[in-house]
Amino acid sequence: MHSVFYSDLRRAINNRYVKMGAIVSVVYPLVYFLSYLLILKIAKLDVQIYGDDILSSSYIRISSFIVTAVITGFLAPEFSDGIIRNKLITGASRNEAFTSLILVSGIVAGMMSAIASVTSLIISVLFTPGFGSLTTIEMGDYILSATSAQISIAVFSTMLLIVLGNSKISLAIPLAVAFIMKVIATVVQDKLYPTEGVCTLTGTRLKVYTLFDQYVPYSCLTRTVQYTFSSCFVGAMVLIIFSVVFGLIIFDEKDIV
Amino acid sequence: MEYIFKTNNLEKRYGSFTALNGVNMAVPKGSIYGFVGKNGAGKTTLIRHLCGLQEQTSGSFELMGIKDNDKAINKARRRIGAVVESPAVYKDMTARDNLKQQYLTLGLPTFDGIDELLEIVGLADTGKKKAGKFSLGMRQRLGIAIALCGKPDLIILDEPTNGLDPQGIIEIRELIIKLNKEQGISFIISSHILDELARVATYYGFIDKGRIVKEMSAEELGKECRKSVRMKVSDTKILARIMDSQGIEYNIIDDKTADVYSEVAFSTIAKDFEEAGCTIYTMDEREESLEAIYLSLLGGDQSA
Repeated sequence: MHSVFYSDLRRAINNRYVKMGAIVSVVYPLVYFLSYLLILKIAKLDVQIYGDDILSSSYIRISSFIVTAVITGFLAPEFSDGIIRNKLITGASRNEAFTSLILVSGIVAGMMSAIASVTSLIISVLFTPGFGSLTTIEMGDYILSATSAQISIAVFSTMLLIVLGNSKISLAIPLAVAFIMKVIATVVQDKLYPTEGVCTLTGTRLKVYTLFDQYVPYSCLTRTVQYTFSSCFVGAMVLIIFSVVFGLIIFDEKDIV
Repeated sequence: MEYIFKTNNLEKRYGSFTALNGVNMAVPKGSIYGFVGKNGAGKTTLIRHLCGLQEQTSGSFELMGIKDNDKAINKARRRIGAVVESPAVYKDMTARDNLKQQYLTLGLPTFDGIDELLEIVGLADTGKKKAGKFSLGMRQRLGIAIALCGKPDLIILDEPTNGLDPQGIIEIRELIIKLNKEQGISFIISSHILDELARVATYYGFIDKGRIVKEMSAEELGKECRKSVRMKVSDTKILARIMDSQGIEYNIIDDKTADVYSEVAFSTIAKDFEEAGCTIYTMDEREESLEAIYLSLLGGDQSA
C-alpha cells in the first residue's frame, strides 16, 4: 500500500493541476481583497472590511469548484493514460490503488484549504481591524469545518472519477455535480435565510432543507452562517465514508479497459 | 516443461457475447510466446486477465505457479511488466521521472538502474523533455523501459513495434532477444506484424473466437514451414509410389495435388512419371511462412 501511496503523492507534488490549485488558493484571497478595496474606493464607500469576510467570502465560496477541478485534472490520466492499469499490473491490489488515490486527493484538498486559510488570515491580521463578530474559536471551527467539507468533496470526486472511469464524459460529472449542488444550496439558503422577511418553510420541507443546509458539504461551503462546525463535520465524514465504501465495492468488480 | 503462465478453461462473457471461450493456453518458462489472432479474437482480453484488469466468468489460471484466486497472485504480478494496448506513461513527466515513479510504485529501495534502462531503450538523451511531447515510438520505448523496471520474470507486450521506425523495430527485436537469452525473461508478445514476430518468437499460440486453436514451438513451426514443391499431377497415387521408391518425403493434399519436401529436379523425375503413366501439370516451389500457417489456421478475412 505505502509504495503506491508514495508514488501517487510524488505525482501530486509534481502535478501541474495541483500546483495551479495551490497558486489559486494563495492568489484568490489576495485578488478578492484588492478587488473589494478597489470597489469601495471607486464607489467612495466608507465600509470597513473584516477578516471573517475575507475568509468566508473568498476562496471557501468557490472551493468546491476549485477542489473538484484540481482533482479531476490530477486524476484524468489514471484512465486516459493507463496509469491505474499500470498500478494493477505491477501488483497493487484494487483496494490499495483506490485507497491511495482517496488519501492523496484528501491531502491535496486539505493542503489547498490550509494555504487559502493562512493567506486569508495573514491579510486579515495585516490589513483589517479584526475578525468582526467571530471569536478565535469560532474562526478555528469555521476553518476546520470548511477544510473537512473540501476534503470530503475531493474524496467524493475521486470516487466518482474512478467508478465512472474509462469514458471521457466521466471527467465532466464531478464538476456537474458541484455546479448542481451549488445551485441547490443557493436555493435552499434563499428559502431558509431570506434577505427580506422570515423563513416560511414548515414541516418536512423545513427539515429536509435544514438537513441539506447543515450537513451537505457543498452547502456548508456556500453558507454565510458559519456556526455549525459539528453538523458540517458530520456531513463531511458521512460523505467520505460513503465514497470509500461505495467506491471500494464498485471498483473491486470493475473491468479496467 | 515448466510454465510461467497457464490457463484452464478460462471463460469471459459479456452478456450473450463470449470473449474467451474456454481458453487453454500454456506459456513455457523462458520462451518468447508469439500470441497471434484476428482483431477481437480475445488476445487483449486474455492479457487483461493475466494482468488483473478483468475477472473471468469461469475457469482459472496460474501465474508463476500461483493460482489466480490465491492472495499471493498480486506478489506474482510484481514480477511481471507489461505494455497493454498503449504504453502507460505520465505525460507531464520526463522519461527519467516516469521510471522513478514506477520504481516507487514497485516499492524499490533505490533508483539504481534507471540510467541503464534509459540507455537500453535509447531514451538516455531526452533530458527534460516531457513524455507528452514524445513521438509514439519514443512512448513505446518508454513503456518498455517501465515494463523492465524491477527486473521482471515475464514481460507482456501488446503490439510492441507499433509506431516504431524500422531502426526502432530492429532495436526492440534485439532487445527482446537479448533480455530473453541473457536474463531468461519470458515474453508474451501479441503482434500484427507476423514476419516480425517470426523473427523473435520461440513458441506460438493461435487464438480464434476466444479459443486457442493451436500452440506450437518454433521448431514445430519450422517443420511446417519447410520448403516444398507443390505438384499438380494426374494421379497422386502414382506420385506417392514414385516418391516412396526414391525415399522422398511428401504430403498428399488431394487427388491431384501433393507437396514434395525435397528439391526435385524436373528432368530427373519426369521420366519416372512418364513411365508410370502420370502427367505432371505444374510444379511450384513454395515456402510456408508464419503468415501462411496463420491463414490456414484462422482464415484471412481479417487482420491478425
